[in-house]
Amino acid sequence: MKKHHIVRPVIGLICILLLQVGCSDPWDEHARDNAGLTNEPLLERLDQESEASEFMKLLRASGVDEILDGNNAYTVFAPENSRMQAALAGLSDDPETRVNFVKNHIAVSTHRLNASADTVRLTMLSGKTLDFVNSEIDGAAFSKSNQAGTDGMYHIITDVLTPRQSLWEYMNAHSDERQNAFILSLNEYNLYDTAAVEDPEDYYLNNEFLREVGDVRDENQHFTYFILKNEDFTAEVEQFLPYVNYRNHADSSYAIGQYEIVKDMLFKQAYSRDNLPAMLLSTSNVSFPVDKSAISQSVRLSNGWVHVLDRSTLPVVNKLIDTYVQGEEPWGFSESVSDRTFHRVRKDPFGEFFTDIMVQNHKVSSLQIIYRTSRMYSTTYDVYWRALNDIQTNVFQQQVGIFEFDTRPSEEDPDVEVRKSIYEFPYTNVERNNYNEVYLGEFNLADYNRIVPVLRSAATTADGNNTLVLDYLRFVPKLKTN
Amino acid sequence: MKKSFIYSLSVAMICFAGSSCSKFLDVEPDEVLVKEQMYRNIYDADAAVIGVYGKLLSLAEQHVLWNELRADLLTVTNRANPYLQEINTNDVDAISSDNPYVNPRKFYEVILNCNDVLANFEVMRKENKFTPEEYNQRYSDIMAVRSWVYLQLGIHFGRVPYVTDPLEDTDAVLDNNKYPLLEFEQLLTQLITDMEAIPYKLLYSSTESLMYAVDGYIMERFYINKQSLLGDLHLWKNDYQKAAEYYKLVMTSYDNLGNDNFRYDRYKVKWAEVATNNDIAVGYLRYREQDVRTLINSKTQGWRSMFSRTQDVLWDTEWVWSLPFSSNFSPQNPFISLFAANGGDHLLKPSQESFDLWNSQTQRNGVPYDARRDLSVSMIGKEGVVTKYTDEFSDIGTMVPIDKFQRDGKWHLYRAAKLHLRFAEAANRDGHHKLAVGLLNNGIGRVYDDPNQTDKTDIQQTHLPFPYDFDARNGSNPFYRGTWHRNDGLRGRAYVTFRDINPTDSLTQIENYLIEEAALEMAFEGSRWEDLLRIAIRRNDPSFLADKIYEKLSKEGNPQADAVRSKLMNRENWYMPFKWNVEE
Repeated sequence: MKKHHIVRPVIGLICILLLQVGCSDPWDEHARDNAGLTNEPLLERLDQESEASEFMKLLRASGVDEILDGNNAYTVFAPENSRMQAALAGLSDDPETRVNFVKNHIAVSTHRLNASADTVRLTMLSGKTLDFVNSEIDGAAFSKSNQAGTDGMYHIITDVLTPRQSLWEYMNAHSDERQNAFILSLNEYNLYDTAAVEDPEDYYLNNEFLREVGDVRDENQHFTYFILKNEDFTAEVEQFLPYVNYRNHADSSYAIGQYEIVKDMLFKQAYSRDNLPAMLLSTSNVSFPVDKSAISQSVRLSNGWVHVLDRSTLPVVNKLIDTYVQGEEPWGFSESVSDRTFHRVRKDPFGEFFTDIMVQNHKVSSLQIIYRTSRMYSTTYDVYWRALNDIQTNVFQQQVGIFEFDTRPSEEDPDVEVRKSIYEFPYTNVERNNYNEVYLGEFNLADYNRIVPVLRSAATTADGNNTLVLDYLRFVPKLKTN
Repeated sequence: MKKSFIYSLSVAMICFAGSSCSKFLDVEPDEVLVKEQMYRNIYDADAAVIGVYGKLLSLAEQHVLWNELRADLLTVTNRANPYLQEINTNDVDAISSDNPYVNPRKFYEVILNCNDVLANFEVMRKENKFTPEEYNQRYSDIMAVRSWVYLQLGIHFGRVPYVTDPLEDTDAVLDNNKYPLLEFEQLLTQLITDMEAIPYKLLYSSTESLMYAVDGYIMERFYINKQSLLGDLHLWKNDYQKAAEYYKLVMTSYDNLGNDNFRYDRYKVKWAEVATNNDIAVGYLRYREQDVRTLINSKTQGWRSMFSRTQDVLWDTEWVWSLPFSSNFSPQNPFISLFAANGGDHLLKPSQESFDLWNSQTQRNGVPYDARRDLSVSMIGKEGVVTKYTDEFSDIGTMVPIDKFQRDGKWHLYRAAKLHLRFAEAANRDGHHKLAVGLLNNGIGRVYDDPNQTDKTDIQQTHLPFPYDFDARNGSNPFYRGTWHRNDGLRGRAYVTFRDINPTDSLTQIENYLIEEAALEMAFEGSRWEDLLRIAIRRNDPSFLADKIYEKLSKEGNPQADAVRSKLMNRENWYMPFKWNVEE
């Protein structure tokens, strides 16, 4: 009888043991994987870290410690004491500067040491982006890493992470340079007579440079920016003025001239002086020759580099790039011929595919296809077309006319707005199976503006003779020689 | 007390059982159909046939991976797992032993299922549980399925065990003492013997219960076409006359049903309807052929529509064998995950080599690429997406799923284009080059025509005996409409320019063009590896296969390209390792 009393608890024990071993607990496994994780808050751990004491002093003094309140996880990159002392000597007493300095050492979320060659871009609380790669953050090495607390992680690094200026901040701080002053002036000033209502608070909407060339405020993009000395900048603008004659208006033309110079001084990769390639390509496809000997000073920024030039290195001829008008991208037609309009794909003798437009059998005499360009320099242009006549057995003719973009009241009827002709090229043969460009002649553009090229068919309704075909028009601007 | 001891012991036992976590719920159900009750009448037999096809569907994914990803037109995206990458690189020595896509076990499950059904059909026949006609049709069908599965195994593993016993245990197949490995050539001979011996080689008679429409799905093209399989087997065996005979029987199988549209259209690779575009040819809007924007790129008209249109009159003119996947029954459509970029995982994509092939063609309106490129593939950024399997699932323009829970699709197994190309391959080898060129290029009527002659009585036909007899006369005065007068040739239907044939070595040149046409026309449909292997074996020229795989790998910068090429120059390396891990 008594024996059974012993057996029962033993069986019960076996029961419990079996239940225990039956299935593993994923939470236990998780905990095992995170050995070294303590249950202390990040701030308490940092207080115990002797090498972080100088940084902690500044952290508390600046009030940034209140951010590390345990509601979110952060990673703190604390510089060694000796480095902090050296850096503090040169740091201004301005509270904002100090807060920014501290915030540049803290990132949201936990980031373990990145030893790989793949860059992790960390956005710090200061808003700056730092590269975290090859066991270094922004070039600073780690003396102690992956120290975790309940609400974050810290690393001890061997250098301070002083926040750098962005290119936009640099421009604002150096507004005495005419080149920078001009870019800043675009916050208020409109280059063209556009009636768009813009928000005075949003530089991006108003500032043509930020909008069209590059948003240099952006910490996540990389830039290389060249800056000319004041007298060089002025000389460059003066030299370029003949190409930007805007409605014969001196002030507007001068502003546009300045814009045309600065637009080719910014590039969307970051190159230190040593890494600069021999040639850069601007956003408007101008090739910019780099002469390192002309660089007198280089400044590293949070989002790139500024190089100060002793002399201009960009010849005017480089800025005169060709304008292409693609045949298959018309702006309009003189009559609706959509059923007879063909977008064709062909292969040129070099094996490259191209798309062109053909309007055939449309029964309209002098049918016009209307195109438009972006703004073009006030100079003389050589004009070419490529037009492939490959499915007809006969040669036909077509012509190109150049019209002003802006309309004006007609002389016959002032209520009707018309576009004035600038130049008309003669009717020209479209020979069979000719894949080469055909030279049409030259015309002079007096005004810096957009133009409206028009392709016109022969003045006949006969199928096959009033065909229009166009791969592209090419406008080659010429250097002014006065 | 004794009672309570037993009680606590049983608690311990329950705990013990519970603690082992798995197999706890593996309880045999009470109502099981005992094997002996399964084959009682014709309806049981029909259920067994449908059951075999249901199991066959589970091979679709591996079939396409083996025949396309191993070959040169299909490759992996960077989302593909390492197992798929192994198949893509095709270094058979480097394939992991646990690569699930290589494992042939599922194929043997289908074979053993067939063996079981065949054995039971024989028993049923002996016990007079169905008529000789009913028996002949079902028995032949299942034998054809089994032979098709064996042919696939032979093509990809070289030597495989040939098992005709109904085994309970699939792993018993691996017993080499009982089931020695058959070389591919021996296997082919065996399969031809099996297939020639079947008592019935046509489609099921239309009065058979298996031909009743199910869920709106017409069953006629659901079952394997035995004659096209016989054609393929003889073509592998280089018995060209026999192959051509069987292919020709399929091509003409609807000719004598008293319906002229069946006779002129079905399996004839019919010309384009240029005025209405209600066809399955490559076409543009009429009189706007120069405008690439008017290409007929639709699910209801033109070449592309054959992959997603309902089983209508036009669908019937092309498809020989097509198995459906439906969201309503298992197994699930594997192709959406493999191919779709939206709603799927986009694991596979067209290779650069496939684009280069299409881009080296010229359409008859002068457009410098094959329109079948844009009707088989869509682009997401710079990456191609195969659309042949997902047109039922996603929108053509946006590539977004129409209803992501409706994952219907088809396993494209055999169609008229394949039939014509393989017939032409046999005819070409059998000395009938002109006929082969007609089927490839611009149609039989045109190659045998004399445009200066208005009386077509003696032209526009081959004047050859069966199976090379074709009458494509299309005359006004005197009036003729030959059975083949609508045949447009494959390149005619695809709106590409015709091949010039060099008369000095027309045999090899035509064969090369036929294989290349199969790539242009049937890319990703699961026959490319077969084609490359068949020609490499026939010509005893491994480079025919090795060079093409090399082109794919080198064009995508695969560092293994050279090594794989030299390996594939040895026939042993054409075959994947035949093994699977036996579960304990």
